[in-house]
Amino acid sequence: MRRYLMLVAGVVIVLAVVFGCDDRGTNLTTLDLGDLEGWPGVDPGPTHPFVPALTLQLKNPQELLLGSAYWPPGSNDIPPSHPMPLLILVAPEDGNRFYYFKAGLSELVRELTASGQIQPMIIYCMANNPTFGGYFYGDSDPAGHYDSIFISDDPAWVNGGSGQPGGRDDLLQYLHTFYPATIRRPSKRGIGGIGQGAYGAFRIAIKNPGMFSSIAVADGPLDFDGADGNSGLIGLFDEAVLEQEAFFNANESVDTVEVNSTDPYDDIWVDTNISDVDTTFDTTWVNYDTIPFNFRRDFDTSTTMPISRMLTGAAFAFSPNDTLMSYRRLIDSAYYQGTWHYSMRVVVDARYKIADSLLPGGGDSTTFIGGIVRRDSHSRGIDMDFHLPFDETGARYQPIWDRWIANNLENMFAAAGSDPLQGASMWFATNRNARWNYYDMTQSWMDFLRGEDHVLEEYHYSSYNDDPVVQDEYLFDILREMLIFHSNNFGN
Amino acid sequence: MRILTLAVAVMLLLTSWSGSLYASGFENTGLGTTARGMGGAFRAIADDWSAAYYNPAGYAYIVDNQLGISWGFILFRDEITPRYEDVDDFGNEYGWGIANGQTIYNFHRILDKPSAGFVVRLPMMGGETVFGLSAFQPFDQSLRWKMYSLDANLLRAYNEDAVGNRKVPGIHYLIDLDVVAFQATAAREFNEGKLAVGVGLQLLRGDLWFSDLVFRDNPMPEGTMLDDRPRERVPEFADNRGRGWGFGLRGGVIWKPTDKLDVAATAYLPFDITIKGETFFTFIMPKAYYLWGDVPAGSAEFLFVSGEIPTQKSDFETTLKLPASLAFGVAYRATEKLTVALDAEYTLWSTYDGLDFSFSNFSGSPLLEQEFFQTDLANPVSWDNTGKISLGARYLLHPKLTLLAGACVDQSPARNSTDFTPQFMDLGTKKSFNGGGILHINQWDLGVITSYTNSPDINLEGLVDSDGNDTFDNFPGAYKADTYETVLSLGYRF
Repeated sequence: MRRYLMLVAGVVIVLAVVFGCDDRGTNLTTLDLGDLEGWPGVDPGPTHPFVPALTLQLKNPQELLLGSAYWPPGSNDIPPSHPMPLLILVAPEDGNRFYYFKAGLSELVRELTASGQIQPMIIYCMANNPTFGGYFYGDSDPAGHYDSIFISDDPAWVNGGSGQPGGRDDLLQYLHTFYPATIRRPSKRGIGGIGQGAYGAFRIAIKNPGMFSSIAVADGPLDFDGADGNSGLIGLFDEAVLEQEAFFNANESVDTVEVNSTDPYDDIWVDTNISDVDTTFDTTWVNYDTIPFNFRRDFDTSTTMPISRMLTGAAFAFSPNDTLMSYRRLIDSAYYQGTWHYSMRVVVDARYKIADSLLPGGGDSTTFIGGIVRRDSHSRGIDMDFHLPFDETGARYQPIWDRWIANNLENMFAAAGSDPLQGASMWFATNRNARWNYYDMTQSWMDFLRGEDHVLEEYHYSSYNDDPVVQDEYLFDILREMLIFHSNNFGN
Repeated sequence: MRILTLAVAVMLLLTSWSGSLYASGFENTGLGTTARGMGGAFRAIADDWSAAYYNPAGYAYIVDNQLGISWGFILFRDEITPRYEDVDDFGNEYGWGIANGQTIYNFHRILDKPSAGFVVRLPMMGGETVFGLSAFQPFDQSLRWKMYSLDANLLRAYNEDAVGNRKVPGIHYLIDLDVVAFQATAAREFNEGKLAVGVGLQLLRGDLWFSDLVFRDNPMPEGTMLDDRPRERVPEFADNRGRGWGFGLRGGVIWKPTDKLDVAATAYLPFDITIKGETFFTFIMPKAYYLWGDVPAGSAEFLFVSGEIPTQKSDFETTLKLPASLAFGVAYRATEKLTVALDAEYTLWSTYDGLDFSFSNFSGSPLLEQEFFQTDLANPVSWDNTGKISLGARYLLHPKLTLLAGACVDQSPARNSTDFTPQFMDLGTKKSFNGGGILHINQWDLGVITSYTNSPDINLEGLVDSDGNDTFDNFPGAYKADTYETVLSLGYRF
């Protein structure tokens, strides 16, 4: 009996092997989430920690500035055999380090290079911060001190001088070191971007006078208060308030915690930790529907409210509650299972806040928003708040707006003294249907530059089939023109 | 009696398991090693417990009490190269996320299909009536596919956040249909053994797990950016899981005109099963943040540019229409050791018109309380009746070993239609080849057979909306299908 059973078992095993126990998988080709690592020509390498510029940046405990790059064949040889220009593309709001690649940058560059329309160049694509879609490449503790990243520690070296690069907190030095094929001369260096990236490109160029020979941008927030001083971003304040109210009415939790969903209506516990907020409900279980919208308590930054989110990012950059933080970076070590383990933590010694100078006797401003960023590992255990430049009616709140307007390109241009963009060729892609008043802001900035005797190239991008124009959708076309402009400007 | 009690316990255990397991083909390929080894040409032989499935009249000639189990192991090796795409006015092909051009395999799974039964002879009404109780799956189908990839189609522009998002179901097309029959059978001889009649009364239990991906017509105003490509269709995943009960009747006769020739006729009449259960919906909404400024945030319209992946639940109900069938068979004992048999079966698949799901009791975000998200879905098909011819032989090589061989040709109900989908891979006239043997050891019979079924390759072109509800009811592409099956059996005569 045992022999027969073994025989049967043997036959079954053989049959099972013969008839396809090999797992073919599903054969469905997929790429890893949002990551273009491994794509031809895409180098995810230029991701570099910038200390201390990004030490306190929200949700960036590794202090990284993310980037990716396109490099032509042979450009990474050591020593470099084919010197070539460097182009920096700055991501717009919600644009990650692969933003331009996803729009076809790699394929486009290969096509244009092969056809001789552009010269070979190394293109570095800098990511925007994803937390609130972007911080306008501003300069603050929670948003990151981008200015110190962009201002070169050693202008002489990045412009072709001798010596060794030394600065760690210097993007240009880093790129020229990382890509030795890049030519360290302003005439072979360009920068550009769209949307918030356009603002970033100009901000970097203004902060680094003479560092770039070409700037090419598409519509963006290039003049915060518009041509008349009362439009631009100001025109978005009402829409942000409407977003908030609509979101509050459509969603059941805004700074509240739902604790019991079995009743006929939702019971909530109102968070009363926020000062200056009506605390009527602080000890009572209440019907959610009876709670009115409260701008300061209920302000939210959901991705479904793009304008609010963008303004939040700007607020963290231009009007954070913490104007200056004094802190120490501490390296902790522990010996565990035969290995030393190291971790970094931040200890805040002092915090200087914006509110102290705004209200009599201190306290928060009338547009203070707290509770958005919690104390957790993503924020190094530090709560950070901000002030909005508008109130619950959408009206401009001047004390905070003044801080924003100090970051307006016109003001930065003026603060630079002599023309910081002198010698730079500039190219603008525009369409009057660009979102969020970007067209008007761009035109206003262009008018300003023309007033400063700059000659600008303007390219009107358009849509297909009379569709409304949104720049991201036509980015492929814009990029083509943008690359050709830079290449022509680089010369031979 | 103890062995009967044991038999019932084993059978119930096996069949309760099979209710959640997977098996082959919408109509079962059969059961039992003798029958399966002979390609299904067993209706005029029907001399073991599996006659409950092939011809209940065969019980009348079973001289022993019997207990048997059969366990099939099936591997579907199917593949589809999708062409789920449309062509625009300029001749450019475009899709909505199905991995067009890639050859996709169904999930690699070795499915098992247990069945069991016993037969007892009891004196009754002036003679011996043979009774049996058995459990098997007259219908089953199990296939899983992963077909949707925004990466593969360079469709990140539709919703970049959906790429790799865990909220997107990992299985895009799935069917796991099990109809288990608990059958009580009675059979008796007449006319001095020249005629036997048997009937079976079935209690049917249907378990359905059906996941489908449909690309719904975007309800936003046509001609606007909200409805423009690639947002013109919104992927909707519907994962339906439910069960229901029904009844079925099976009857047969065997006539022995000579000592060597047996002739059989059978009929099977299963009644519809109403399946009720729960559906889990997942929608992948377009993400067009450059349009966010054009649509009020928080509004229902905003959902169609938000890039969100909302989900909701509902109850569902559908009717599983099972086909009746008629069959005839002949068996000829050429020698004392060799028996050859031929069966012909005709199945009324035209009565099956697909699965039509009606949904109710939705629960989800209030934003989903709009017609688009609560529309009933249907998978209509237009099938034809089918014929199946089986030819088999049984040879007693040794008192302890019987050899089996068989082949069959089986039509597809979808052979004239264009409504192929990944869940039903019945591509055309199938050819099946079977072989194996049975060891006889005292009162035990140990059987093993193996089977290979080949389907013709087909190329299906063009999307079809057969019921006019703005969703496509077929899945164009190049289809291939092969099926491998091994069946083990254990029988005990007492």
